[in-house]
Amino acid sequence: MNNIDIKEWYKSEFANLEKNLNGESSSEVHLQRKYSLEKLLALPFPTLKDEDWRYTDVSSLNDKRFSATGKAKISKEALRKYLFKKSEYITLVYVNGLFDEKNSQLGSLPEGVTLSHSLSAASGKTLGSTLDTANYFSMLNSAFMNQGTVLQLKKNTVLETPVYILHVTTTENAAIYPRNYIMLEDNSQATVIENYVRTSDAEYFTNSVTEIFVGENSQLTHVRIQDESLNAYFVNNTQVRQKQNAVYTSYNISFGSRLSRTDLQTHFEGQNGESHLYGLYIAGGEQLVDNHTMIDHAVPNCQSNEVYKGVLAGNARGVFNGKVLVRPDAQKTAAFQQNKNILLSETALVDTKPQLEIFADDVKCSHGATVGQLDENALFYLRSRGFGKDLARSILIFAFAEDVVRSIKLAPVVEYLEGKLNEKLNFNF
Amino acid sequence: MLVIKDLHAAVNGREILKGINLTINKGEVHAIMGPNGSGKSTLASVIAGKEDYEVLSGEILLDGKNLLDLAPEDRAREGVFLAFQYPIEIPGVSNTNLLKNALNEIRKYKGQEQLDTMEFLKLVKSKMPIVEMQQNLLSRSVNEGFSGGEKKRNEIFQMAVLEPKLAILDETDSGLDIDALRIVAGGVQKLRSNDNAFIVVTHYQRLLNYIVPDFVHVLSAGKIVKSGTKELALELEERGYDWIKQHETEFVAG
Ligand SMILES: Nc1ncnc2c1ncn2[C@@H]1O[C@H](COP(=O)(O)OP(=O)(O)OP(=O)(O)O)[C@@H](O)[C@H]1O
Ligand SMILES: [Mg+2]
Repeated sequence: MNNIDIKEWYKSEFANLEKNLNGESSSEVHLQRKYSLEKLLALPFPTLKDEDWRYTDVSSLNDKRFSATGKAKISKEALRKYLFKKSEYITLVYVNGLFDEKNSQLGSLPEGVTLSHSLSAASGKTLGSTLDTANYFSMLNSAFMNQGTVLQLKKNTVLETPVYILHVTTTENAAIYPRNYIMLEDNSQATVIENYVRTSDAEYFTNSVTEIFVGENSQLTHVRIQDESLNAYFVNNTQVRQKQNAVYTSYNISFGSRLSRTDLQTHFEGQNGESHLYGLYIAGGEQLVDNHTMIDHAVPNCQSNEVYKGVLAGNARGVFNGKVLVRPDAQKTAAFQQNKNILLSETALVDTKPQLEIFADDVKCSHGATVGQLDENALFYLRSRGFGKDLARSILIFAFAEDVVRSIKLAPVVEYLEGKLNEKLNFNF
Repeated sequence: MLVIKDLHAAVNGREILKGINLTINKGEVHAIMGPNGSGKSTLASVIAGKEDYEVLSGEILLDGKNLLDLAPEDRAREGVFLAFQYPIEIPGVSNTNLLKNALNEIRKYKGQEQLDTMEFLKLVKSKMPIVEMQQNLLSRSVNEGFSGGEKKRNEIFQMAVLEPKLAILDETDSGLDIDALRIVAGGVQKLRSNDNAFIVVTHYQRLLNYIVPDFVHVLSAGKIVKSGTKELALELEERGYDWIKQHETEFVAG
């Protein structure tokens, strides 16, 4: 299949997409697709020579020809295990990237809330405005974005019920390009949970982009769970813009994928903002999990707090690149960053690179990175209580990871993730 | 019950235990005292099976079974319990949950039936008064954010639930306030029976007022240099370890 040049492949995929758009081809969104395709066709494929891709070899994505597959069905029964127990969250289900109305649960939304799977619902010219046109995968997503989740809150709107966006991919060789767009106007609050799951161990490609605008005095809690097939590829770009007093809290949990790469960037556009970024990645086998975060302290008096934890087993590789940029004007910045890794085997590896670039003088910044093994004393403690070696290790890994999971203030999500952890670690307490 | 014969053990190539001989019978309490760094915790860890320590020679038999052949978890299942000098925190795992699973691991090994949650909670309830264990410590994560004294109390509570044959208490008294010491030591006293035995490592005679030992041993530089009855502890309290060291040199000189 890969005898077709990748750019030619994109062109033919794009033609297919256009054929199925019926009538939408002059819309704003489509103009953006066309523009992005043009950009994409002119961009070189990222290689290890690019600073941003130094540790992550994506050449297999250049070799493979994934295709926007289209509709597939999934039964309510099969979906159940991806739903949170004891919760009535607003739920949008997408199968192979396309909205599955039957399985979704929108309920009645309060006044001031717009929620749609159609990208044309995104307001004005802001869709795509956060993206770097030189970023290959952002342009790829923008060229092929079809459906996604648009959530908009008008001023002074509080959406108490969390919005759950569930992406299920079922089909071998599928390419899916979800675009999420979250706009919180001033004084509003919402919680959004993205979950990417698989129904089989198919090989496919998820390339998603999430754009987030947090208005003045607004608060967004954002959970992302990535639990894709171990043969799948996952590339996500998340852009956050924060106005004055805006609080953005992110929990970024990765379990799945053969290769996953997440770029999470937050920018303070107004003073007294807060960004809290928590991450957890657990990988084994031949998995590669790459997290690039960047916090842009462009204005004074903002706080950022970042804790990423990773567990790597087998031949797995982890990459953490955490950039904190404190621009000359950004006095009284407080930035704290920590990356902790546990390697469970001799062949597991992590490249951790905290990157503090500080151009203001009156700031409080700290960062630290650790790479270690499980604590021998703790292992001995558990074994001396009658637990076998493997179980003792699992308990300690659970404890290490649980720390991030528990900081999520949503009990049903915590329970779901603990279940996942138990499943992964093969124990059940 | 426990027989230690000429035990030599090293860590990182350095010999720490230099020929320990100790016999403990059912129903007995043996106190081990001795200066900092003399090897008390090392002895406790070697009995419990910590892998950092290399046993150079000697034997440790529990009811005739050579413990040195067993992994730490199997020693625990055979009935060895170590109350740690520095208990470990395990965030995210509730105390009750850990203890229930520990007990069931031990029961499984012995071919006994697993306790379900109801049965286990009933057992826990019956053991709580022994060390005046508070409910909130049980539902919290294992030792997480516990005060020094709470951790020690928790160790003894675990012991009460797991009912070991041989319990080794490593400085359980340190970090306990006066009331807690009385309560925890009283708990140990209640758990004494004709079927179990205790090794109590301590620096202070005070604990031994509550847990009255049958024998007191002094460990110094990896050897038991003096053994006696509870009066020895009183004498040590009064005269310090120098007295024994002098004694020793006199003995060697004589
Ligand atoms: N893992 C280790 N690596 C290096 N040295 C060790 C290790 N464990 C113990 N030691 C050394 O072995 C010696 C005995 O230590 P141990 O902890 O057994 O003493 P102790 O009698 O329990 O002392 P304390 O009364 O202070 O608790 C000490 O000199 C200690 O530094
Ligand atoms: Mg000690």
